[in-house]
Amino acid sequence: MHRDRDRNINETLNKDLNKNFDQDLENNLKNAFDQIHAEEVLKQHTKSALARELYGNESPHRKRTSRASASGMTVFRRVAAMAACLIALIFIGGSWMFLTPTAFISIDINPSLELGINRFNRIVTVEGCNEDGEALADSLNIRFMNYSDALDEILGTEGMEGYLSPDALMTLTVAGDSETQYNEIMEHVESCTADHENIQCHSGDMDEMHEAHESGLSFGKYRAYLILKELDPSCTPNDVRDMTMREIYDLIDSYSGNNGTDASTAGGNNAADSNASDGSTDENEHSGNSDSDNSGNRHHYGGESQGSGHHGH
Amino acid sequence: MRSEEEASRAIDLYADTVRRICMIHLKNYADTEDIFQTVFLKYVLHTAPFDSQEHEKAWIIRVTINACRDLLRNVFRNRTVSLDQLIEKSQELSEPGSELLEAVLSLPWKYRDVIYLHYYEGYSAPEISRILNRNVNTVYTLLTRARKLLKNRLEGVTEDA
Repeated sequence: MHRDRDRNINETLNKDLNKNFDQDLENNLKNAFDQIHAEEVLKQHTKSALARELYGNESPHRKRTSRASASGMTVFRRVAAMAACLIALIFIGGSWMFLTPTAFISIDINPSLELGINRFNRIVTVEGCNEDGEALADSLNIRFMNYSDALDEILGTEGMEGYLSPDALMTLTVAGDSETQYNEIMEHVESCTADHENIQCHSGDMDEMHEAHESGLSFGKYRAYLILKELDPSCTPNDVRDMTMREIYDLIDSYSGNNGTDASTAGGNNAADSNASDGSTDENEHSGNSDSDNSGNRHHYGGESQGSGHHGH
Repeated sequence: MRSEEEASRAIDLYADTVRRICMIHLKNYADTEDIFQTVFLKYVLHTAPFDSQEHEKAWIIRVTINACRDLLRNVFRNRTVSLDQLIEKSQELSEPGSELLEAVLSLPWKYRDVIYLHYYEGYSAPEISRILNRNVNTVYTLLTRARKLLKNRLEGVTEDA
C-alpha cells in the first residue's frame, strides 16, 4: 500500500516536474527565438534579388549568389546525365555486339544443330532444328565458348559417337556476314575435321540461311535439300527434315545417275569428297553470294559428286 | 505573380520566421540568403489565394523547411563562397546566444523542426503533422524524444555549472 502511494506521489511529482519543464522550455525557447531577427541587410538583399529576378529593376546591390551555384548545379547534372546515357549506350551497344551472331555453323547428321557465332568468335546461340537436334542442343553446354573449343566438345560428346557411325555423314556448313571472319571459321573448321573421314565442309550464305529458317530446316540441310530438289522437284522440306544427311546424299547420288554408289564405296570416298567440296567452297567465295550463284553452286556440286565417284573408282 | 508591394510586405512579415527556421538548420549565412530568395520567389510565384494569414504563415514555414532540406540534401552543392561574402559573414553572423538554443541545435535535425513548431509557433501535433507531411503519431514520438533529449542535455549543463 505504502509503496503504491509512494509511486503515485512520485508520478504526480514527475508529471508536475514535466509540466514545469515543459513550461520553462516553452518560455525559454520563446525568449531565445524572439531574439533572432532577420537582418535588415538580408531583407534588403532578398527584396532587391526579387526585384531583379521578377520585376526587371536593376539594382546596384551585389549579384545573387545562388544563381551561380544553381547554374553550376544544372551543368553538373547535365554532364552526369549525359555520362549516364553514354555508359548505358556503350553497355547496350556492347551487349548487342556480343549477343548478335555474325556467322553461323550448321551441323547436320540427323540431328541438325545451328551455332550462332558473334564477332568475337564466341558461340551465342545454340539451336536445334529438329527433335534430335533440340535434344542434342539441350545436352550441350557450349554457350559463350570459343567455337573451335565448342566443335571439339561436340565431336567428343558421347551422344555424338552414336550418330557418327562409320556410314553416317556429317556436314558442317558455314555462313557469315563478314568475309574475314567467315574465311577464318571455314579454315578452322576444315582443319578441325580433317582427321574425321565422314565429315564434309560446305559454305552457305546468309540469304540461303533465311530461306532455310522459313522452311524450318537448318541451312546445312536446306543446302542438301536444294540439291535434291534440283534432281527431284517433287520433294518438300518436310520430307528431308527427319532424314539423315547420309540418306539425303544417297538419294542425290541415286538421282544424279551415279549408280555405283553403295555404302562401302561412299564411306571410302568421303575424304576425297570433302577435298572436292573444299574446291567448291573456294569457287563459291569467288562467285559471291547472290541467289543465282547458288544455283550455279548446286550444279557444281552435282558434277562434283559424280567427279568424286569417278575418283573412287 | 504577386506585386512587388505584396512581396515586400511578406518579406517584412515573415522574414523573422524564415530566419529562425534557417538558424535551426543552416550554419552558413550565404545559404540563409539562398533560402530567403528561394522562399520568397516561390511566394511571389504562388498565385493561389490563402484562406487566412495563418494559412499563409503555415505555407511559408512549410516551404522554408522543405527548401532547407533540399539544400542540405544536396551534397554536391557548390561550396565556394566569395570573399566579400566572407567579410560580411564575419560581421553579421549571429551565433545563438543562449545555452538553450545551443542545446536545440545539438539535436538531430529531425527533432529541431518539431521543437520549433511546437514550442515557439505553438502548433499542435496534428497541425505539425500537416506542415511536415508526416504521421501524427510520428510527430508525437518526435516531440517526446526531443523533449527527453533536451531535458537530459539541459540538466547536464546545469549540473556541470
